[in-house]
Amino acid sequence: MTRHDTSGPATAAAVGPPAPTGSLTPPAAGAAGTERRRRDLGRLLSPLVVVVLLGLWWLLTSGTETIDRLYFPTPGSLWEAVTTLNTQLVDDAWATLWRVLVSWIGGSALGVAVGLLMARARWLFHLLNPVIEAVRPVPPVALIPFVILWFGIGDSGKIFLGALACFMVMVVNTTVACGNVPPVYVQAARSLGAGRNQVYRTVVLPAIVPEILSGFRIGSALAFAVVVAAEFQGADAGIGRLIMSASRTLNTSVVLLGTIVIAILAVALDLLISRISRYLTRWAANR
Amino acid sequence: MADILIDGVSKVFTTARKRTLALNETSLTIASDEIVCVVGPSGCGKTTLLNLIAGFIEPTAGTISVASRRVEGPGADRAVVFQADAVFPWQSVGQNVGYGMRMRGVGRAERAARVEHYLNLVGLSDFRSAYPKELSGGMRKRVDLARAYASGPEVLLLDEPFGALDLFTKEAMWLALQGVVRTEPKTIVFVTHDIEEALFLGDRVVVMTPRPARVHSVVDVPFGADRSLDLRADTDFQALRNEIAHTLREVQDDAA
Repeated sequence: MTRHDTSGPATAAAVGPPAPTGSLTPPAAGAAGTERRRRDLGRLLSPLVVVVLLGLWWLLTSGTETIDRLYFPTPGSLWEAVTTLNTQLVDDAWATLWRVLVSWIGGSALGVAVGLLMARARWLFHLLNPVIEAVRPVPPVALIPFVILWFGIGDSGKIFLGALACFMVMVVNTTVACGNVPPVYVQAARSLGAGRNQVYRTVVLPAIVPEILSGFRIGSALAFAVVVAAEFQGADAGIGRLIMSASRTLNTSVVLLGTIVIAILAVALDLLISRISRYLTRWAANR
Repeated sequence: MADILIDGVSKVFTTARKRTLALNETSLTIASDEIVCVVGPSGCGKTTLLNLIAGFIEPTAGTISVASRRVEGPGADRAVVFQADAVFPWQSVGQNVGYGMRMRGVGRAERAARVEHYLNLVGLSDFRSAYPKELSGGMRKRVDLARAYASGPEVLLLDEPFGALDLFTKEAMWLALQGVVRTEPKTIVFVTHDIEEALFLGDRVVVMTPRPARVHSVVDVPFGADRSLDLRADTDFQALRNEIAHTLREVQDDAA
């Protein structure tokens, strides 16, 4: 008797339903067709909403002039703002994006590192936790006056604030994630001969990846909010400064344009992170 | 020789409010390549006993040695399969099975060959590069078993490994374990609350009692090595099953 024979019948019984690779047999061809058509129609809804909103915008402003262009710009005046600002818009957008990226990457990396250390060494946890818990509830925006005093109105102050926000998110996120690693994984690894450092490298670090990545997403949105808010209070460049100076002259089309640019940048960054997360956590079941 | 010697072991769990005697002066000798199943109602200390052998916890009194070496913490000579799903979801099936070898620094080529061997043994060679999430619960348990075996332990500690599986999958797992053990005998301690499972797989069945948690009796299982699922219909099998069930009820009534 070969080895395979002994486990053969058992395999057949335990394999049961095959891996969920989408090979579901449809109850009936007609029903499946309807299902697919309904899904395709559903997918059309999102672009439709955009078209309707744009149409409504034009209708309420330029079309019927129900809304005065002082309160909300027309599509035409928005385009005019784009062409007049031209390269200045790109420069401002780049200034903001640069600050966001640096503060987000720097703050998050530092946050993860400190979080990992705090999860590893209890004494460090007890040393840092009170400070972190005290600073964490403070909205970073409340520190803007200090930051301008300390750093002036250049890049460094904004980056500091954005980094601080991301740091706080990631420290807490990382320590919690480390605590959430199921003990059974650690025990299994130990009984398979892994030493403490090996357990850390092969079990703890990979296990916390999904939570770390969701922290990165939260942090990126927060970095945008904090950096733009800091730019409102005084800056040499940036979308926040653009919006603030336009609002002083009631130039609503530039205000709207700035908002749109922030939205585009934030969505693009978020999309990028979620793509990367998807790849890195392709093993996770609940995705 | 991978025998297990449990000598007068007690375990007390102390919390701020009370002390719980989880295991009371237990002694047991398990021979090399023997399968010992431990049955008992919940709270009888059977998982505590297993965790002590695994080295996850330390005995309050007494000593445990495996292959004449005193247990002083978890180690590669004692692989554990838990009831909970402990297969690493971030590693492929093949990486999981090769985990113990990778930790020991076994070379890539030898590792690949042995992973293949053990995946074959549990009938999962087609799933080597799949992630655990693509597998059913029973298949993941096979991965767990293959991983434990492939790490090259001297003894295997199974803590209600099939407790979360449905009956059919469970029976398939019994046969799978039987098949693996036949090709590569090991000293196995198998904790379960399923008397039929214990009688089907064990060479001996240890019956434990709660309050005080200790070994009540040890039953020799007389059915030889070649056992089929039909064995359960055997009158001798059922008689033994009833006897153990009776004992368990009795000790539980005593404790209550």
